[in-house]
Amino acid sequence: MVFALAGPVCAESADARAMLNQMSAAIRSLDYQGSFAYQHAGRVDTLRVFHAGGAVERERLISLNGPRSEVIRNGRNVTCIQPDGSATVYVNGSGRGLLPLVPDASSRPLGDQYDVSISGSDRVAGYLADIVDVTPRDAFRYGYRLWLDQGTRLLLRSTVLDSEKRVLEQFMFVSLEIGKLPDETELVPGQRELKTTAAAASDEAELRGASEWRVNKPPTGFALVSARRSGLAEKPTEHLVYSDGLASVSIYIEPRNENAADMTTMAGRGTLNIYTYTEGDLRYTVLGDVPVATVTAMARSIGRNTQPRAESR
Amino acid sequence: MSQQAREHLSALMDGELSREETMFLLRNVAHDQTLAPCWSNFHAARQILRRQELLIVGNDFANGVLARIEMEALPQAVRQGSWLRWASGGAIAASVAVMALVFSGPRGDMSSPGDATLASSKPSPAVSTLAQPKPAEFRPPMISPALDVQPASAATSGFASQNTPIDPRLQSYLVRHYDAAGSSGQSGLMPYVLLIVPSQQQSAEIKADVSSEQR
Repeated sequence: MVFALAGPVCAESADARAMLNQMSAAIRSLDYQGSFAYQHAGRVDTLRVFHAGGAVERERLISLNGPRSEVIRNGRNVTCIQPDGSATVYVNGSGRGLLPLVPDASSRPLGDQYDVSISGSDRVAGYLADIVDVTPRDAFRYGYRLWLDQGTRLLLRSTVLDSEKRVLEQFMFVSLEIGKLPDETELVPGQRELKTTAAAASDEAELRGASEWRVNKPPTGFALVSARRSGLAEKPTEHLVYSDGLASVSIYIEPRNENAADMTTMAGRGTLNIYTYTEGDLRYTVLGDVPVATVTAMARSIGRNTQPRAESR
Repeated sequence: MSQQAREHLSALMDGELSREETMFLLRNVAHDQTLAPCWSNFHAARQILRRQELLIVGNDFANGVLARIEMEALPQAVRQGSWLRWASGGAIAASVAVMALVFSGPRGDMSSPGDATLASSKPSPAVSTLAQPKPAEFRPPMISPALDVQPASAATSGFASQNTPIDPRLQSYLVRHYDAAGSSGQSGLMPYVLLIVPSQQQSAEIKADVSSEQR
Protein backbone atom coordinates (compact mmCIF):
# COMPACT_ATOMS: atom_id res chain seq x y z
CA MET A 1 0.00 0.00 0.00
CA VAL A 2 2.82 2.36 0.92
CA PHE A 3 4.67 1.64 -2.30
CA ALA A 4 1.51 2.03 -4.29
CA LEU A 5 1.05 5.51 -2.90
CA ALA A 6 4.69 6.50 -3.16
CA GLY A 7 4.93 5.77 -6.86
CA PRO A 8 2.59 8.41 -8.24
CA VAL A 9 3.85 11.05 -5.82
CA CYS A 10 7.45 10.55 -6.94
CA ALA A 11 6.43 10.53 -10.57
CA GLU A 12 4.58 13.77 -10.12
CA SER A 13 7.62 15.32 -8.46
CA ALA A 14 9.85 14.16 -11.30
CA ASP A 15 7.44 15.58 -13.84
CA ALA A 16 7.32 18.85 -11.98
CA ARG A 17 11.08 19.07 -11.77
CA ALA A 18 11.31 18.32 -15.48
CA MET A 19 8.88 21.15 -16.07
CA LEU A 20 11.18 23.52 -14.19
CA ASN A 21 14.06 22.58 -16.46
CA GLN A 22 11.84 23.06 -19.49
CA MET A 23 10.81 26.44 -18.13
CA SER A 24 14.41 27.59 -17.85
CA ALA A 25 15.09 26.50 -21.42
CA ALA A 26 11.92 28.13 -22.72
CA ILE A 27 12.72 31.48 -21.12
CA ARG A 28 16.08 31.51 -22.87
CA SER A 29 15.25 30.05 -26.24
CA LEU A 30 11.79 31.35 -27.16
CA ASP A 31 10.89 34.57 -28.88
CA TYR A 32 8.15 36.40 -27.05
CA GLN A 33 6.83 39.82 -26.21
CA GLY A 34 4.21 40.95 -23.79
CA SER A 35 3.22 43.08 -20.83
CA PHE A 36 3.21 42.01 -17.24
CA ALA A 37 2.28 43.30 -13.81
CA TYR A 38 4.92 43.11 -11.11
CA GLN A 39 3.79 43.30 -7.50
CA HIS A 40 6.57 43.92 -5.02
CA ALA A 41 7.13 45.81 -1.78
CA GLY A 42 3.50 46.80 -1.50
CA ARG A 43 3.14 48.24 -4.98
CA VAL A 44 2.35 47.19 -8.51
CA ASP A 45 4.32 48.17 -11.59
CA THR A 46 3.58 47.35 -15.17
CA LEU A 47 6.31 46.53 -17.66
CA ARG A 48 6.66 45.41 -21.25
CA VAL A 49 9.23 42.86 -22.35
CA PHE A 50 10.62 41.93 -25.76
CA HIS A 51 12.73 38.79 -25.99
CA ALA A 52 14.62 37.24 -28.88
CA GLY A 53 15.90 33.79 -27.98
CA GLY A 54 18.96 32.02 -29.26
CA ALA A 55 22.63 31.57 -28.53
CA VAL A 56 22.91 35.28 -27.78
CA GLU A 57 19.68 36.37 -26.16
CA ARG A 58 18.45 39.87 -26.67
CA GLU A 59 15.91 41.43 -24.37
CA ARG A 60 14.34 44.77 -23.64
CA LEU A 61 12.29 45.63 -20.58
CA ILE A 62 10.36 48.91 -20.42
CA SER A 63 8.51 50.41 -17.48
CA LEU A 64 4.99 51.39 -18.47
CA ASN A 65 4.08 53.42 -15.40
CA GLY A 66 5.91 56.41 -14.00
CA PRO A 67 8.91 57.91 -15.76
CA ARG A 68 10.00 55.83 -18.73
CA SER A 69 12.97 53.66 -17.95
CA GLU A 70 14.23 50.57 -19.67
CA VAL A 71 16.76 47.78 -19.59
CA ILE A 72 18.41 46.37 -22.69
CA ARG A 73 20.15 43.02 -22.53
CA ASN A 74 22.38 41.84 -25.32
CA GLY A 75 23.95 38.58 -24.29
CA ARG A 76 25.88 39.38 -21.15
CA ASN A 77 25.72 43.14 -21.55
CA VAL A 78 22.92 44.86 -19.70
CA THR A 79 22.21 48.58 -20.10
CA CYS A 80 19.87 50.29 -17.67
CA ILE A 81 18.51 53.55 -19.04
CA GLN A 82 16.98 56.13 -16.76
CA PRO A 83 14.37 58.70 -17.79
CA ASP A 84 16.98 61.46 -18.10
CA GLY A 85 18.92 59.51 -20.71
CA SER A 86 21.66 58.40 -18.37
CA ALA A 87 22.56 54.79 -18.78
CA THR A 88 24.63 52.29 -16.88
CA VAL A 89 26.17 49.29 -18.58
CA TYR A 90 26.67 46.14 -16.56
CA VAL A 91 28.41 42.97 -17.50
CA ASN A 92 25.97 40.29 -16.46
CA GLY A 93 28.33 37.54 -15.47
CA SER A 94 25.65 34.94 -14.97
CA GLY A 95 23.93 35.69 -18.28
CA ARG A 96 20.56 35.63 -16.61
CA GLY A 97 17.42 37.13 -18.02
CA LEU A 98 15.38 40.17 -17.15
CA LEU A 99 12.12 38.64 -16.01
CA PRO A 100 11.75 38.83 -12.24
CA LEU A 101 11.03 36.01 -9.80
CA VAL A 102 12.35 33.22 -11.97
CA PRO A 103 13.84 30.44 -9.86
CA ASP A 104 16.90 28.86 -11.39
CA ALA A 105 16.15 25.19 -11.08
CA SER A 106 18.15 24.06 -14.07
CA SER A 107 21.74 24.46 -12.94
CA ARG A 108 21.63 22.26 -9.86
CA PRO A 109 19.18 19.87 -8.20
CA LEU A 110 17.08 21.51 -5.54
CA GLY A 111 18.08 18.88 -3.03
CA ASP A 112 16.05 17.86 -0.06
CA GLN A 113 14.95 21.28 1.04
CA TYR A 114 12.06 21.67 -1.37
CA ASP A 115 9.12 19.65 -2.56
CA VAL A 116 8.22 20.17 -6.20
CA SER A 117 4.76 19.23 -7.34
CA ILE A 118 2.10 19.95 -9.91
CA SER A 119 -0.85 21.48 -8.15
CA GLY A 120 -3.34 22.17 -10.88
CA SER A 121 -4.02 24.16 -13.99
CA ASP A 122 -5.13 27.68 -14.73
CA ARG A 123 -5.34 30.23 -17.51
CA VAL A 124 -3.00 33.21 -17.69
CA ALA A 125 -2.88 35.87 -20.41
CA GLY A 126 -5.01 33.63 -22.57
CA TYR A 127 -2.75 30.59 -22.25
CA LEU A 128 -3.57 27.37 -20.46
CA ALA A 129 -1.03 26.81 -17.73
CA ASP A 130 0.14 24.06 -15.41
CA ILE A 131 0.81 25.20 -11.86
CA VAL A 132 4.03 24.00 -10.26
CA ASP A 133 4.66 24.47 -6.56
CA VAL A 134 8.17 24.66 -5.17
CA THR A 135 7.52 24.29 -1.45
CA PRO A 136 10.24 24.60 1.17
CA ARG A 137 10.30 22.07 3.95
CA ASP A 138 11.13 24.61 6.63
CA ALA A 139 10.82 28.34 7.29
CA PHE A 140 14.38 29.19 6.29
CA ARG A 141 13.58 29.72 2.62
CA TYR A 142 10.81 30.98 0.40
CA GLY A 143 8.63 28.95 -1.90
CA TYR A 144 7.43 29.56 -5.43
CA ARG A 145 4.20 28.94 -7.27
CA LEU A 146 4.78 28.97 -11.00
CA TRP A 147 2.34 29.00 -13.90
CA LEU A 148 3.89 27.40 -16.99
CA ASP A 149 2.38 27.48 -20.45
CA GLN A 150 1.19 23.97 -21.28
CA GLY A 151 2.50 24.20 -24.81
CA THR A 152 5.94 25.79 -24.44
CA ARG A 153 6.58 25.76 -20.65
CA LEU A 154 7.23 29.48 -20.75
CA LEU A 155 6.72 31.10 -17.35
CA LEU A 156 3.47 33.07 -17.38
CA ARG A 157 3.16 33.93 -13.73
CA SER A 158 5.33 33.56 -10.64
CA THR A 159 4.65 34.15 -6.96
CA VAL A 160 7.06 34.03 -4.05
CA LEU A 161 5.50 32.72 -0.84
CA ASP A 162 6.59 32.72 2.76
CA SER A 163 6.17 29.82 5.13
CA GLU A 164 2.58 30.91 5.84
CA LYS A 165 1.77 30.78 2.11
CA ARG A 166 1.47 34.54 1.95
CA VAL A 167 2.41 36.10 -1.37
CA LEU A 168 5.45 38.34 -0.94
CA GLU A 169 6.02 39.23 -4.58
CA GLN A 170 4.60 38.16 -7.89
CA PHE A 171 4.61 38.90 -11.55
CA MET A 172 2.02 37.93 -14.13
CA PHE A 173 1.75 38.42 -17.86
CA VAL A 174 -1.45 40.19 -18.82
CA SER A 175 -0.77 40.00 -22.56
CA LEU A 176 1.73 37.80 -24.29
CA GLU A 177 2.67 36.66 -27.78
CA ILE A 178 4.82 33.55 -27.74
CA GLY A 179 6.87 32.84 -30.86
CA LYS A 180 6.79 36.36 -32.21
CA LEU A 181 10.29 37.63 -32.93
CA PRO A 182 10.58 41.29 -31.91
CA ASP A 183 11.53 43.82 -34.54
CA GLU A 184 15.04 45.21 -34.39
CA THR A 185 13.64 48.57 -33.31
CA GLU A 186 12.00 46.91 -30.34
CA LEU A 187 15.33 45.66 -29.01
CA VAL A 188 17.21 48.95 -28.93
CA PRO A 189 16.76 51.98 -26.66
CA GLY A 190 13.99 54.42 -27.40
CA GLN A 191 16.41 57.31 -26.91
CA ARG A 192 19.09 57.72 -29.53
CA GLU A 193 21.57 59.67 -27.43
CA LEU A 194 22.58 58.36 -24.07
CA LYS A 195 25.16 59.40 -21.55
CA THR A 196 26.45 56.03 -20.59
CA THR A 197 28.42 54.95 -17.60
CA ALA A 198 30.18 51.64 -17.57
CA ALA A 199 29.78 49.99 -14.20
CA ALA A 200 33.08 48.95 -12.78
CA ALA A 201 33.92 45.30 -12.96
CA SER A 202 33.80 43.38 -9.75
CA ASP A 203 37.00 43.65 -7.78
CA GLU A 204 36.42 40.38 -6.00
CA ALA A 205 38.62 37.38 -6.55
CA GLU A 206 37.73 33.81 -5.71
CA LEU A 207 39.74 32.50 -2.79
CA ARG A 208 42.03 29.55 -3.10
CA GLY A 209 41.55 27.21 -0.24
CA ALA A 210 39.53 27.83 2.85
CA SER A 211 38.14 31.16 3.85
CA GLU A 212 39.18 32.84 7.05
CA TRP A 213 35.52 32.82 8.05
CA ARG A 214 32.65 30.41 8.10
CA VAL A 215 29.08 30.03 9.27
CA ASN A 216 29.30 27.43 11.97
CA LYS A 217 25.66 26.40 11.99
CA PRO A 218 23.88 27.46 8.82
CA PRO A 219 20.23 26.49 8.40
CA THR A 220 19.77 22.98 7.08
CA GLY A 221 20.68 22.63 3.43
CA PHE A 222 22.76 25.77 3.11
CA ALA A 223 26.35 25.12 2.10
CA LEU A 224 29.26 27.33 1.13
CA VAL A 225 29.42 27.70 -2.65
CA SER A 226 31.73 30.67 -3.06
CA ALA A 227 34.35 32.54 -1.05
CA ARG A 228 35.75 35.74 -2.43
CA ARG A 229 37.88 38.62 -1.29
CA SER A 230 37.83 42.21 -2.40
CA GLY A 231 40.92 43.38 -4.21
CA LEU A 232 41.08 46.56 -2.19
CA ALA A 233 44.14 45.99 -0.05
CA GLU A 234 43.46 48.76 2.43
CA LYS A 235 39.95 47.52 3.25
CA PRO A 236 39.74 43.87 2.31
CA THR A 237 36.24 42.46 2.40
CA GLU A 238 35.60 38.78 2.56
CA HIS A 239 32.47 37.62 0.76
CA LEU A 240 31.00 34.20 1.40
CA VAL A 241 28.02 32.82 -0.49
CA TYR A 242 25.89 30.05 0.98
CA SER A 243 23.16 28.37 -1.03
CA ASP A 244 20.64 25.59 -0.72
CA GLY A 245 20.50 25.17 -4.48
CA LEU A 246 17.80 27.76 -4.99
CA ALA A 247 18.17 30.49 -2.37
CA SER A 248 21.49 32.25 -1.81
CA VAL A 249 22.83 34.23 1.11
CA SER A 250 25.87 36.49 1.00
CA ILE A 251 28.01 37.31 4.02
CA TYR A 252 30.41 40.22 3.99
CA ILE A 253 33.07 40.71 6.64
CA GLU A 254 34.99 43.97 6.48
CA PRO A 255 36.89 46.36 8.75
CA ARG A 256 34.48 48.71 10.45
CA ASN A 257 34.73 52.45 10.18
CA GLU A 258 36.72 54.00 12.97
CA ASN A 259 33.89 56.20 14.12
CA ALA A 260 31.04 53.78 13.59
CA ALA A 261 29.00 53.02 16.66
CA ASP A 262 28.15 49.50 17.72
CA MET A 263 24.86 48.81 16.08
CA THR A 264 22.73 45.96 14.86
CA THR A 265 20.35 46.70 12.02
CA MET A 266 17.81 44.74 10.08
CA ALA A 267 16.43 46.00 6.80
CA GLY A 268 14.08 44.37 4.37
CA ARG A 269 12.02 44.93 1.33
CA GLY A 270 9.98 42.38 -0.49
CA THR A 271 11.88 39.12 -0.30
CA LEU A 272 15.22 40.72 0.45
CA ASN A 273 16.52 40.91 4.01
CA ILE A 274 19.74 42.46 5.28
CA TYR A 275 21.24 41.97 8.74
CA THR A 276 24.22 44.09 9.75
CA TYR A 277 26.17 44.24 12.97
CA THR A 278 29.53 45.33 14.24
CA GLU A 279 31.76 43.46 16.62
CA GLY A 280 35.26 44.42 17.58
CA ASP A 281 37.02 45.90 14.59
CA LEU A 282 34.76 44.27 12.05
CA ARG A 283 31.40 44.80 10.45
CA TYR A 284 29.32 41.85 9.34
CA THR A 285 26.56 42.03 6.74
CA VAL A 286 24.32 39.12 5.82
CA LEU A 287 21.83 39.50 2.97
CA GLY A 288 19.77 37.50 0.57
CA ASP A 289 16.30 36.78 -0.75
CA VAL A 290 15.52 34.65 2.25
CA PRO A 291 13.42 35.10 5.40
CA VAL A 292 14.55 37.18 8.35
CA ALA A 293 15.12 34.00 10.33
CA THR A 294 17.72 32.83 7.84
CA VAL A 295 19.88 35.96 7.74
CA THR A 296 19.60 36.23 11.51
CA ALA A 297 20.60 32.64 12.12
CA MET A 298 23.56 32.91 9.77
CA ALA A 299 24.69 36.24 11.18
CA ARG A 300 24.74 34.85 14.68
CA SER A 301 26.76 31.86 13.63
CA ILE A 302 29.68 33.53 11.89
CA GLY A 303 33.02 32.48 13.28
CA ARG A 304 36.68 32.10 12.45
CA ASN A 305 37.61 29.18 10.31
CA THR A 306 40.19 26.98 11.93
CA GLN A 307 41.49 25.78 8.57
CA PRO A 308 44.52 27.48 6.98
CA ARG A 309 43.94 30.91 5.55
CA ALA A 310 43.25 31.26 1.89
CA GLU A 311 44.86 33.32 -0.82
CA SER A 312 43.07 35.24 -3.51
CA ARG A 313 43.40 33.89 -6.99
CA MET B 1 27.18 77.12 -13.82
CA SER B 2 29.99 78.83 -11.97
CA GLN B 3 33.08 77.23 -10.55
CA GLN B 4 31.91 78.40 -7.15
CA ALA B 5 28.67 76.50 -7.55
CA ARG B 6 30.61 73.35 -8.43
CA GLU B 7 32.79 73.78 -5.40
CA HIS B 8 29.75 74.18 -3.21
CA LEU B 9 28.29 70.98 -4.61
CA SER B 10 31.58 69.29 -3.92
CA ALA B 11 31.51 70.55 -0.36
CA LEU B 12 27.95 69.31 0.01
CA MET B 13 28.97 65.86 -1.09
CA ASP B 14 31.73 65.94 1.47
CA GLY B 15 29.34 67.06 4.17
CA GLU B 16 31.23 70.26 4.71
CA LEU B 17 28.36 72.69 4.37
CA SER B 18 26.36 73.94 7.29
CA ARG B 19 22.64 73.40 7.41
CA GLU B 20 22.00 76.97 6.26
CA GLU B 21 24.52 76.73 3.44
CA THR B 22 23.05 73.41 2.39
CA MET B 23 19.54 74.82 2.20
CA PHE B 24 20.77 77.86 0.29
CA LEU B 25 22.59 75.71 -2.21
CA LEU B 26 19.68 73.33 -2.69
CA ARG B 27 17.34 76.21 -3.37
CA ASN B 28 19.76 77.37 -6.06
CA VAL B 29 19.81 73.87 -7.50
CA ALA B 30 16.06 73.89 -7.73
CA HIS B 31 16.30 76.90 -10.04
CA ASP B 32 19.45 75.98 -11.94
CA GLN B 33 18.94 72.95 -14.13
CA THR B 34 22.67 72.60 -14.80
CA LEU B 35 23.54 71.88 -11.18
CA ALA B 36 21.54 68.69 -10.77
CA PRO B 37 23.27 66.84 -13.64
CA CYS B 38 26.59 68.01 -12.23
CA TRP B 39 25.68 66.49 -8.89
CA SER B 40 24.68 63.28 -10.62
CA ASN B 41 28.02 63.18 -12.42
CA PHE B 42 29.89 63.64 -9.16
CA HIS B 43 28.07 60.67 -7.72
CA ALA B 44 28.69 58.53 -10.76
CA ALA B 45 32.37 59.33 -10.67
CA ARG B 46 32.76 58.46 -7.06
CA GLN B 47 30.68 55.33 -7.19
CA ILE B 48 32.71 54.00 -10.06
CA LEU B 49 35.97 54.78 -8.37
CA ARG B 50 34.73 52.99 -5.30
CA ARG B 51 33.33 50.21 -7.46
CA GLN B 52 29.88 50.90 -6.17
CA GLU B 53 27.65 50.27 -9.08
CA LEU B 54 24.40 51.90 -10.16
CA LEU B 55 22.75 54.78 -8.27
CA ILE B 56 21.52 57.40 -10.67
CA VAL B 57 20.78 60.60 -8.82
CA GLY B 58 17.51 62.12 -9.87
CA ASN B 59 17.53 65.70 -11.04
CA ASP B 60 14.89 66.55 -8.45
CA PHE B 61 17.12 65.54 -5.58
CA ALA B 62 17.25 69.10 -4.28
CA ASN B 63 13.55 69.26 -3.56
CA GLY B 64 13.65 65.97 -1.73
CA VAL B 65 16.58 66.96 0.39
CA LEU B 66 15.12 70.33 1.19
CA ALA B 67 11.97 68.66 2.31
CA ARG B 68 13.93 66.29 4.49
CA ILE B 69 15.95 69.03 6.07
CA GLU B 70 12.86 71.04 6.80
CA MET B 71 11.19 67.98 8.28
CA GLU B 72 13.99 67.54 10.76
CA ALA B 73 12.55 68.19 14.17
CA LEU B 74 14.84 69.98 16.54
CA PRO B 75 14.77 67.30 19.25
CA GLN B 76 16.14 64.87 16.69
CA ALA B 77 18.72 67.27 15.36
CA VAL B 78 21.59 65.58 17.07
CA ARG B 79 20.78 62.18 15.72
CA GLN B 80 19.94 63.27 12.23
CA GLY B 81 22.88 65.60 12.17
CA SER B 82 25.07 62.67 12.92
CA TRP B 83 23.43 60.83 10.07
CA LEU B 84 24.38 63.66 7.75
CA ARG B 85 27.92 63.29 8.93
CA TRP B 86 27.68 59.56 8.49
CA ALA B 87 26.35 60.18 5.04
CA SER B 88 29.19 62.35 3.98
CA GLY B 89 32.91 62.40 3.66
CA GLY B 90 35.15 60.89 1.09
CA ALA B 91 36.71 62.05 -2.09
CA ILE B 92 35.44 63.57 -5.23
CA ALA B 93 36.55 61.43 -8.07
CA ALA B 94 39.74 62.26 -9.83
CA SER B 95 38.46 60.52 -12.89
CA VAL B 96 35.16 59.31 -14.14
CA ALA B 97 33.89 56.66 -16.47
CA VAL B 98 31.25 58.68 -18.17
CA MET B 99 31.21 58.14 -21.89
CA ALA B 100 28.91 59.72 -24.39
CA LEU B 101 27.54 56.98 -26.55
CA VAL B 102 25.08 57.21 -29.35
CA PHE B 103 22.83 54.25 -29.83
CA SER B 104 22.18 54.03 -33.51
CA GLY B 105 20.91 50.52 -33.83
CA PRO B 106 21.37 46.96 -32.72
CA ARG B 107 24.72 46.26 -31.22
CA GLY B 108 26.79 43.33 -30.34
CA ASP B 109 28.55 43.10 -27.04
CA MET B 110 29.25 46.66 -26.15
CA SER B 111 31.56 46.09 -23.28
CA SER B 112 33.42 43.57 -21.31
CA PRO B 113 34.97 43.77 -17.88
CA GLY B 114 38.07 45.04 -19.58
CA ASP B 115 36.11 47.71 -21.31
CA ALA B 116 34.58 48.81 -18.08
CA THR B 117 37.98 49.11 -16.50
CA LEU B 118 39.22 51.05 -19.45
CA ALA B 119 36.27 53.35 -19.30
CA SER B 120 36.87 53.94 -15.63
CA SER B 121 40.25 55.36 -16.40
CA LYS B 122 38.98 58.00 -18.77
CA PRO B 123 39.25 61.40 -17.20
CA SER B 124 36.37 63.77 -17.00
CA PRO B 125 37.32 67.40 -17.28
CA ALA B 126 34.27 68.45 -15.35
CA VAL B 127 35.22 66.44 -12.32
CA SER B 128 38.96 66.11 -12.45
CA THR B 129 39.42 69.80 -11.75
CA LEU B 130 37.65 69.28 -8.46
CA ALA B 131 39.57 66.30 -7.29
CA GLN B 132 40.29 66.56 -3.59
CA PRO B 133 40.91 63.07 -2.30
CA LYS B 134 40.05 62.47 1.31
CA PRO B 135 40.37 59.28 3.25
CA ALA B 136 36.90 58.95 4.75
CA GLU B 137 34.37 56.57 3.34
CA PHE B 138 31.82 58.06 1.04
CA ARG B 139 28.15 58.06 1.88
CA PRO B 140 25.96 60.10 -0.42
CA PRO B 141 23.71 62.09 1.84
CA MET B 142 20.75 61.96 -0.45
CA ILE B 143 19.52 59.81 -3.17
CA SER B 144 16.72 58.16 -5.01
CA PRO B 145 18.27 54.78 -5.26
CA ALA B 146 17.14 52.23 -7.74
CA LEU B 147 17.19 49.58 -5.06
CA ASP B 148 15.71 51.55 -2.26
CA VAL B 149 15.90 49.07 0.51
CA GLN B 150 15.51 51.06 3.65
CA PRO B 151 18.01 50.55 6.40
CA ALA B 152 16.53 50.32 9.82
CA SER B 153 18.63 51.71 12.57
CA ALA B 154 18.60 50.30 16.02
CA ALA B 155 19.34 53.68 17.48
CA THR B 156 16.49 55.76 16.15
CA SER B 157 13.14 54.91 14.74
CA GLY B 158 13.08 58.11 12.72
CA PHE B 159 16.09 56.92 10.86
CA ALA B 160 14.06 54.11 9.41
CA SER B 161 11.58 56.36 7.65
CA GLN B 162 10.62 55.61 4.09
CA ASN B 163 12.77 58.44 2.84
CA THR B 164 15.93 57.09 4.34
CA PRO B 165 18.34 56.18 1.57
CA ILE B 166 20.07 52.90 1.34
CA ASP B 167 23.70 52.80 2.23
CA PRO B 168 25.53 52.61 -1.12
CA ARG B 169 27.75 49.99 0.42
CA LEU B 170 24.71 47.75 0.61
CA GLN B 171 23.88 48.45 -3.00
CA SER B 172 27.35 47.40 -3.98
CA TYR B 173 26.93 44.30 -1.86
CA LEU B 174 23.68 43.47 -3.59
CA VAL B 175 25.23 43.69 -7.02
CA ARG B 176 28.09 41.46 -5.93
CA HIS B 177 25.70 39.08 -4.22
CA TYR B 178 23.64 38.45 -7.32
CA ASP B 179 26.73 38.23 -9.46
CA ALA B 180 28.45 35.76 -7.15
CA ALA B 181 25.33 33.66 -6.69
CA GLY B 182 24.76 33.51 -10.42
CA SER B 183 28.36 32.61 -11.16
CA SER B 184 28.13 29.77 -8.69
CA GLY B 185 25.28 28.26 -10.58
CA GLN B 186 22.77 29.31 -7.98
CA SER B 187 19.67 31.37 -8.37
CA GLY B 188 21.43 34.67 -8.65
CA LEU B 189 19.17 36.68 -10.89
CA MET B 190 20.17 40.30 -10.71
CA PRO B 191 16.81 41.98 -10.29
CA TYR B 192 17.33 44.43 -13.13
CA VAL B 193 13.64 45.05 -13.10
CA LEU B 194 14.13 46.97 -9.86
CA LEU B 195 16.47 49.35 -11.62
CA ILE B 196 13.79 50.71 -13.87
CA VAL B 197 10.60 50.70 -11.90
CA PRO B 198 9.74 54.19 -10.64
CA SER B 199 11.25 55.45 -7.44
CA GLN B 200 9.70 53.96 -4.38
CA GLN B 201 10.47 56.89 -2.11
CA GLN B 202 6.87 57.93 -1.77
CA SER B 203 5.00 54.74 -2.36
CA ALA B 204 6.97 51.79 -1.11
CA GLU B 205 5.61 50.00 1.86
CA ILE B 206 8.64 49.13 3.77
CA LYS B 207 8.64 46.23 6.06
CA ALA B 208 11.81 47.30 7.70
CA ASP B 209 12.03 45.79 11.07
CA VAL B 210 13.91 47.56 13.78
CA SER B 211 15.91 45.78 16.36
CA SER B 212 18.12 47.40 18.92
CA GLU B 213 20.33 44.79 20.26
CA GLN B 214 24.01 45.16 20.74
CA ARG B 215 26.23 42.24 20.41
